[in-house]
Amino acid sequence: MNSTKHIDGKLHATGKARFVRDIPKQEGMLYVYPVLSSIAKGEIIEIDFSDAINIENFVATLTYKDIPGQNDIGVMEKGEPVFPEKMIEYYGQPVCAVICRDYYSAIVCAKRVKVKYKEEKAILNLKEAIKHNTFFKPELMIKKGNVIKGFKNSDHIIEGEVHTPIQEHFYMEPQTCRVIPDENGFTVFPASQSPTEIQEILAAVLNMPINLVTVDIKRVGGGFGGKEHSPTLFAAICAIASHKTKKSVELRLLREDDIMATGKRHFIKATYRCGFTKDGKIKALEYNISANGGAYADLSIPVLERCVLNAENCYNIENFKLKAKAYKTNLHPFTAFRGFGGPQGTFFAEYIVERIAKKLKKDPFEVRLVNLYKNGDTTPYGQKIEECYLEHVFNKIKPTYLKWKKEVENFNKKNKYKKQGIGISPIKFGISFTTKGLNRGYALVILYPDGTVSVSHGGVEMGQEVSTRVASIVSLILGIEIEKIHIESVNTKRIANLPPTAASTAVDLNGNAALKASSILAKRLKRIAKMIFKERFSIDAATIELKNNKAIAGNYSIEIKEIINRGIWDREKMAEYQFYKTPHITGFNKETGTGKPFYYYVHGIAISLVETDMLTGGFRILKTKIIHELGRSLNREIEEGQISGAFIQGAGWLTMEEMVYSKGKPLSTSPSTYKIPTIADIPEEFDIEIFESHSKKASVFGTKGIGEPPFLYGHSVFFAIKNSIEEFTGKECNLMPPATPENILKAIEGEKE
Amino acid sequence: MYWWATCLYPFMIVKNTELNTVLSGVIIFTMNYEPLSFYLNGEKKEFPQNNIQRLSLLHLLRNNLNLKGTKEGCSEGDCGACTVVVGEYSFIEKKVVYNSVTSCIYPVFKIHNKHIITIEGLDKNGELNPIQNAFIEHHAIQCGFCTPGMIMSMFALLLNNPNPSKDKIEKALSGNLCRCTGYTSIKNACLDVSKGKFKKPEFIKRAEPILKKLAKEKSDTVFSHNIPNSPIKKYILPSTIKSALQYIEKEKPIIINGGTDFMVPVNRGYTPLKTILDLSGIKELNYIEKRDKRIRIGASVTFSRFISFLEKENLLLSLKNGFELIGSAQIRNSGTICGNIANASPIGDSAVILLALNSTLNIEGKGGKRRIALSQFYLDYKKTALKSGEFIESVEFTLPEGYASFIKTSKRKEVDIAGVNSCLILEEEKNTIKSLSIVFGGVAPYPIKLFDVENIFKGKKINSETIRKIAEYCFEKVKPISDVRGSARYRKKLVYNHIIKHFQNLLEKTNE
Repeated sequence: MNSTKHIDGKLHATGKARFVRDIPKQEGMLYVYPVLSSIAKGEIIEIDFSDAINIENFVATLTYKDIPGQNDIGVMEKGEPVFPEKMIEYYGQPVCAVICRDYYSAIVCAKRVKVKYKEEKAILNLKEAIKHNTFFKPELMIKKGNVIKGFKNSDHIIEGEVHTPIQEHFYMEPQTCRVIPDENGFTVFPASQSPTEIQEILAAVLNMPINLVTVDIKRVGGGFGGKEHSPTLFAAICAIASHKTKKSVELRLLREDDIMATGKRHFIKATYRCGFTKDGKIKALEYNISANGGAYADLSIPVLERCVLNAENCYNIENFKLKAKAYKTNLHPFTAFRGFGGPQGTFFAEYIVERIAKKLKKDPFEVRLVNLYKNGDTTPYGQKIEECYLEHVFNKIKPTYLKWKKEVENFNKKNKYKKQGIGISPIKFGISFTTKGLNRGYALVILYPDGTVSVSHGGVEMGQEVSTRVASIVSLILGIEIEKIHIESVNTKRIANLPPTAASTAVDLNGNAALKASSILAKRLKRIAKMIFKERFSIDAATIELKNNKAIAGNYSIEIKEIINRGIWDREKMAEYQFYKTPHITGFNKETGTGKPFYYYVHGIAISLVETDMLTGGFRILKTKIIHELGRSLNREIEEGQISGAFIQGAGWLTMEEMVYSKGKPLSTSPSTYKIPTIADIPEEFDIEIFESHSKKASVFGTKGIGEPPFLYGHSVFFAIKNSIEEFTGKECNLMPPATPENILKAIEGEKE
Repeated sequence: MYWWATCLYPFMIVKNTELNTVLSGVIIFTMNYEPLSFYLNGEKKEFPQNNIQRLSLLHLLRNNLNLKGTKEGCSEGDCGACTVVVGEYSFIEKKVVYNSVTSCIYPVFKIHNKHIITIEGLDKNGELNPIQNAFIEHHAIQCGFCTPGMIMSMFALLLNNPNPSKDKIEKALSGNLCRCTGYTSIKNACLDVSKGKFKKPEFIKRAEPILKKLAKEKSDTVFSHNIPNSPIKKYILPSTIKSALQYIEKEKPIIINGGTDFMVPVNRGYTPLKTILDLSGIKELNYIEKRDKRIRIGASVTFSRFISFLEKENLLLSLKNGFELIGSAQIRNSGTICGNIANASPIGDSAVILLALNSTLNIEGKGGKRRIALSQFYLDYKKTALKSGEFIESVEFTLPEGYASFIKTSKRKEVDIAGVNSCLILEEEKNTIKSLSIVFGGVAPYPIKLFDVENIFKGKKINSETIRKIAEYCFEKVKPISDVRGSARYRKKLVYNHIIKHFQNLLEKTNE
């Protein structure tokens, strides 16, 4: 199973794989394009379409008045309009839209719409928002032990402020949606991770029953959380346009408008106070966490939740106290992004641990080791630590770390303006949606008389290869080769009431449902096969194995397709619809700040060695080594692909990726100004080791979720840069992410922000 | 006139479409407007220009020819998802060369008489190309959106060089963004297929003699179209300088060459441009001349062709990186050195180097030729000494003696625009400065040469004291502004540090 190739690899490599925009056009299809606001906050006084309606190929305008149902797409909290009736809340917010016969005309037409505003004073950063105390409810709190006592028992106390930057998803396929009117409803093809959310919200927006809206998603060209809630707004605009014109309509954002108008990773700030002993053991940690939540609640509260659930990362802290709020500002919304607050929370913890090491002049590796969680410890939110592999991965990587440390010392002695540094980043990342009710998976497996299989399941394919992985599970159970298994689009008429494909749970949830469905079918096939064996070979097959498209009993075999045929005509059910829910979890209780939100944790560690040029602030990642714990490895190549991709994305977040704004207007809205890593930015030596722990607390076939946890390995690059600077300046520096050349030079000079 | 022989094609193509298209085919013919004629994946195609709906090659491929394998990620040539390969005869290398280009910003009219290869052309009779196999084998595909472009960039590289080094692979692919894989698997796939597994496909070889013939038979081509809301109404591809000057006089067009910049605002729905004159088909402008130490680069020489020339002739190797860091492979394949100069970016990498080399521009215009020092060329932000109707015919310079170094500081190593870039050329004699040329980009409305620096420091001993003084001098001299790529303060600091680093590089070099 380990060599399973991408199930649609050949389609992609030959250019035949279809994304939304590649679906053949419908006769008379129209194109809608939104008009984006050019102020951050204010009142809409007048929308002037007179220049726009004169252009060739113009069809119609679209305003909030064209919405047949509710003008609200909020999920966690209501009050997020499709088109605002009055108040603009962020720069780039869709004000209205235009519909034309071709895409280009729609772009030109949208540019010609003139909107008059009465501009108001906007809240453009977290600092102002905190001053105004405008936040999305509730405030989150976690408490364990007694911090006052903890501080008393500490030899040292450090305090300070640390923040993490905004990150743009930069999925390769921009926001796209196609809506096709049916005889009494609509079929929607969005590039979205949330089929059910789109189905339900569009039904409400269009004022029609949910069962008349079909959402169909074959694949998404990269999501990373940027297609969890953000596509809903654009799907709604597209659906309203289709409703108004009674035609098929497509919407596709230009890249600059996509970056301008869609949600991003939250900017989060933590003020902290940490007490520790002279050995580096943390006795007390107190946090005050504030997130920039943007103009609408979006997913800010659940993101903040995962941030606080990760704010101690791998460390057992006896006395812990935390308060957190997500503030409302006049920036684009902030939303889900791989790790969902986890990267921010863990970064704070690692930043503090690095500071402790500096303060005590100890090796940061050792300080981490002293504080690591062990089996039987309890997290600040009260979940017991079981099957913890942190010490194991630390010991496993230690020889490499010590070897690199020597190399770095030698290099730094010989070089004046170039310095090397090592960064460490351990992970203990909990898997499950922290909202208990979302932890459910679905699968429908259908057997056909030619021995082929159709699988529908609840996970949207967006490059995480949930399709390949679910197919390989079904293949293994049914003994039918993977080439005969077709993974269907997620279609809300086959598979419904889905959670978003998110939180690294798609394989756990839907793979388990598929496992259940195929196991039932396998049992049924064996029962029928037993009968055929008896009739044909006069044997009483005690054990039957399904393998290589055959049922095998000793020296005898029957083709599985024959068994299916027989089953159909014997009136047996040759399809199964199954459901799975994650056991033993309680979700996170926001009131008490406690719970057992995670089914299991994923562990691992990364070390990176960088070389920084102290004159230009440029750096190179020379080496990275990752040891990643999985219960079992199900498909090594996919797992390594997830680890490598997440690591680079994480490293990009803390180094070169920088969203720049001017008065709330995003300036870095194109790949020429917002820089994500290229092939030239990856470590020159890159070693990924997968450690199979055979943990009992794991999911389907003993595997563990892998989408998000490795994102945290990117932290190691930041800390390596920070350490290299400190090698140069000889004192602790105040480098904050992103570690752009500019920020690196500032840190070298010891400039305050 | 080769197209007379094939002029019946429009009728044949439009046979299965509506009558009015057939009629417009007649109009094309009688007005002497050629159909767009090119090779596509080994087959000859003629496309009636009246049927062209938009300006990018990408749109023609996806919407008119229904080839949806080529994806659109950013519409500005900076993500690589739309990469296709263009085969054309190079007058410099005297052979057919293969260039990856970003089809979203490649003006469709440029494909006239060239060979376009798209992802759909790679597998033949169900058999995959070795690159496609390597991508599948190495699991170099995740969401798959970048895959076709990625494969096409690798295809272009291997067509020119079947056994490229790791460094060449990185250079070829750094214009193709991928947000899923972290590139490890892609790199492995590319390294694998570079070990002699790739052969030039037959359909490519077959087209080469024809491309060579077509290139030598060029005539003026004028495309005009009247599509809804198109900002461009006429696209002229003259074949000689003389005819170019006549068109310029008559039509007052915007003059382009590589065209990598002008399509960006067009795709975003801005700027009515009306008439474009594209110099890239003029053979007289497509040359690199070397006489003793004097190098002259014609207007149509792209970065890629110039880099190949430097590598082949073993010239200017210490400054080659400056040209290699411009844009992506796709941009270097279309963009020209003279175009980069004319574009007058305050941060243009080639302008910084060419200024340090004391280059001279040869300018063509209706009044005849004139010469101007590059240092006199820039007047203000995006303002040059080019008068209306003039274009740069070539740039020339003398190869430097002594030490030369170029530094670019940007957020990302490849395919990024600098915060500050600089070039230093130094001749020394007995450890004293004999001549010194320093140029900075990104610190003023246009790249600036610090002229006084030579006068002040000539004859000074090269030691840490002098280096510090030069750095301080430069620091005081520049007055940068803050923008999306960095603050003024940061830029000033970089100016100081660049000087230290140039000398540091020099020191390392002498110690080697």
